Amino acid sequence: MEALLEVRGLKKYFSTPKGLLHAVDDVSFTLERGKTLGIVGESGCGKSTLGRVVIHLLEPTAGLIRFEGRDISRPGKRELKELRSNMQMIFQDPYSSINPRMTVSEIIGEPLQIFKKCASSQEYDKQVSKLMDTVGLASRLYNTYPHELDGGRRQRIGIARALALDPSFIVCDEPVSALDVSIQAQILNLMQDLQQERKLTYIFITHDMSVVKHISDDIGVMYLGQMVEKCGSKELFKNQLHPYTKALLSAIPRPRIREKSKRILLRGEITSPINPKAACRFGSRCIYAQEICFGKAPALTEAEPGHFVACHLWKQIWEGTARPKEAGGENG
Amino acid sequence: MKEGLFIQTWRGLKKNKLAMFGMVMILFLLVVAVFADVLAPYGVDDQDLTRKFLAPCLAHPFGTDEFGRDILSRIIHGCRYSLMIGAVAATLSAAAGMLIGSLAGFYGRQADNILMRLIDIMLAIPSTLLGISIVAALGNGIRNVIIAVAIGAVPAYARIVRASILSVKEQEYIEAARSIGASDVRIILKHILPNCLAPIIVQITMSVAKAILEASSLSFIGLGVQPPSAEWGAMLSAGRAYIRKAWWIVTFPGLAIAMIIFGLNLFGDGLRDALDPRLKT
Repeated sequence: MEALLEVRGLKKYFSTPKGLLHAVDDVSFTLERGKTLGIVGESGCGKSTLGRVVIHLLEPTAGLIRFEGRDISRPGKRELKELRSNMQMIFQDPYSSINPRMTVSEIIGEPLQIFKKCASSQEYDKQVSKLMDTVGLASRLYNTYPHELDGGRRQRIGIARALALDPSFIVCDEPVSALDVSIQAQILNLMQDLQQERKLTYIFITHDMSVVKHISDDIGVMYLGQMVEKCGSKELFKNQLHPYTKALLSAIPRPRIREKSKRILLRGEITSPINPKAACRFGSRCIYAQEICFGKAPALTEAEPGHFVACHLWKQIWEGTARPKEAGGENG
Repeated sequence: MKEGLFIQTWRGLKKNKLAMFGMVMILFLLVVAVFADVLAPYGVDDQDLTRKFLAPCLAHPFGTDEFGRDILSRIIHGCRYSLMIGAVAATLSAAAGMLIGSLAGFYGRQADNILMRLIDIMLAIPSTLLGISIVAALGNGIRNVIIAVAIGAVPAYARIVRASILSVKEQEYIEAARSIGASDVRIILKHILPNCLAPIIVQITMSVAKAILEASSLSFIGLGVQPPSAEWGAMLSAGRAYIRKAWWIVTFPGLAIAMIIFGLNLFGDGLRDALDPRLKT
């Protein structure tokens, strides 16, 4: 399979009064055409920033982004506009991500207008109707305003807008987290159908582990701006190597009353993302942390074929020779 | 924006009796201004020294002034001045203020700093004093009064537009517009300004009233529209010497000014309520 998107050493720092905030720090991954990469992590770990930097809604501080074989790390104005038609974004909040003063058709058709895709108004109407049909919006909604619609329909508008320019790659920034569970499933199925029909490639950003399991081929786990583990979706749920991933997965509630699952509760302060020291950023909360973790930042290394982890001690933990410092587990 | 906003606002406005009353007053004055030549019983400058200082009577409902001119006719003609000064000054200041406010709010940082400090300097000078200085520098006359009044109103617009742009700019749909390749101009005109429209419309209504009042004040102190023009402020000023002997010369122009400002303020308040998204269903 050819790589559609290749990201190497991507960094995005924000300057704040207290210092440089490392929102995305040295993230690398490759994404094949037609696949979905899920990005998971807690709030503020930089997953949304990563998505925005990749499609140039934010400019990267450093690093390489290669899209369809071309280096797009520093696009010019014209190149950027061309990129917009190839890479799109679906936003988190269907209430704030569409302009309340525009009708459904105006919102969906705006990309067509900007890129002058339609020669006549008939063709424009036809295109917009076709897009509405694709995402399952009834044609009677053509001239309605978004405030008349529910969250699910609004998110369909957002998807139709993203599809209007026929992109090959879409960043989905928590597209279902603002929706009811029943509607979440509809939208996720729609997105999967569209992916198959149109050979779309997704980066799917979420904090919902069950959603990411459902939709992703690969999953990357982020912690404070860094990718700490990356592997195939099934592998991640079977065999986590990084202690943070273990804790993250143990937090998924299981609908079995009698089964006693061991929940790993994290303690300690989150390391500040502002001017972080050269150390493992998870070290202060890690139950296995040893001296090496506070002196040197671990690199993302391939532990098994296709399974990457950034931890000094993953092998010991895996073999069971690393001792947890304190009883971090509780019966829950 | 087009239909939706208009109809929604109209529905809200219709429920508000005071606002409708204000609107009727403004419409009435507009009609009066347009048909002044037909409605006025006497010519605006027709002097009749045998009939000077006549108290209100049937032939002259508002009385006559020191030259025997009919005050009702002069007030009817003066309506044109006031409405024109108000409308033109408000349009000019709205255009300038929106441009400055948009640039400051949208581009932020340096542009914001420079433009807003300029606005602060203007705000530091009392608006009447500013108006007096500008008219004193440019000379008398209706055009210069309009310029003076318009300049005085720019800071309010700039601040309101900047503030609403700052709040709208952070919305996700602005980022969405950027992600589909919209240019800065398109984002400002199609996405930001329509969503800041409510406070701007209210400000326009209010600033028309303020402009009329300020223009009248300038005329009153002799810096604005000059007698014998039938401007309300100028009429007040000319009549104040005779206030003990002929109260009607100052009373009726004063009431006219009060009426137009009252009407505009009622309408403006009603508009603000109708446009407030928190009251929308």
